[in-house]
Amino acid sequence: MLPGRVLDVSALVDIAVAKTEYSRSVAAMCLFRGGGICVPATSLAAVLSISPISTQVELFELVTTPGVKIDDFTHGKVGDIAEILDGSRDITAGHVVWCARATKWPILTDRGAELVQYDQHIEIDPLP
Amino acid sequence: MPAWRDGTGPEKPSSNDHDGARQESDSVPLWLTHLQPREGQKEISTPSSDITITVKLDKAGYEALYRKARLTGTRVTDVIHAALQREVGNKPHVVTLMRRWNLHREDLDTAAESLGVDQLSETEWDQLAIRRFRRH
Repeated sequence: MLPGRVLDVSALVDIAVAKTEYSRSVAAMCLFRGGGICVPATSLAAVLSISPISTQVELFELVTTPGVKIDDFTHGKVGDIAEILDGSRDITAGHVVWCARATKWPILTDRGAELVQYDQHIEIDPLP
Repeated sequence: MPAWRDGTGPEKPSSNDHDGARQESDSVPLWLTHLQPREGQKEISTPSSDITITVKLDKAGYEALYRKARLTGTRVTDVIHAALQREVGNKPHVVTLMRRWNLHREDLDTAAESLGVDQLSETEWDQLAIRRFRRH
């Protein structure tokens, strides 16, 4: 099976500012081996809203690389995501979990324990 | 109007003005560089005819291909073309990204382990031509 990762907010921040090189390395290596990267639009929007333009360009380089797919937050997914959230208000978390379910790829994140509460079957790739 | 055009300035810049060429190259965003012809690079010509190759697959491999084609409503040939494009066509873009981020080999090895894929071979690492030293 081809490798893949769903990028949560923390992974995208890590890619933007390179706090660690783990997220960049995982994304690059995954794509190098023919895998895919899923970027939930809600996560990307959250990071773009807080990051300076100088670091936003790194995210743009990533999302314009073939093999990287931005998953839109569309009307058709709202019901499923609401079901995942089960009353919680963290729409980004719900969307990230939805993407992990759809792709069957682990989520690259620093809040694995929190996300697993939404779905115990998802896989987590924890940030160091 | 540039000074060289009305004869009051220095000579007209030559076509092999490297600084000018570099500035022009720098002004092209990275995500568009693959559309720019590279120095000394010949234009890619379309092959005049298709080439036929025979690929031997085991039953499981063929069934996986067939299932994928059925799922996406395409032909097995299209699935193979897509895989080929993903493997070969995307690599230059990824290599550009790896060079831009100047990644360490040991980080890439850790990432490969996490992803469950092969680590970079010496040949692949040489092709990447990033930095060779290890972090201390």
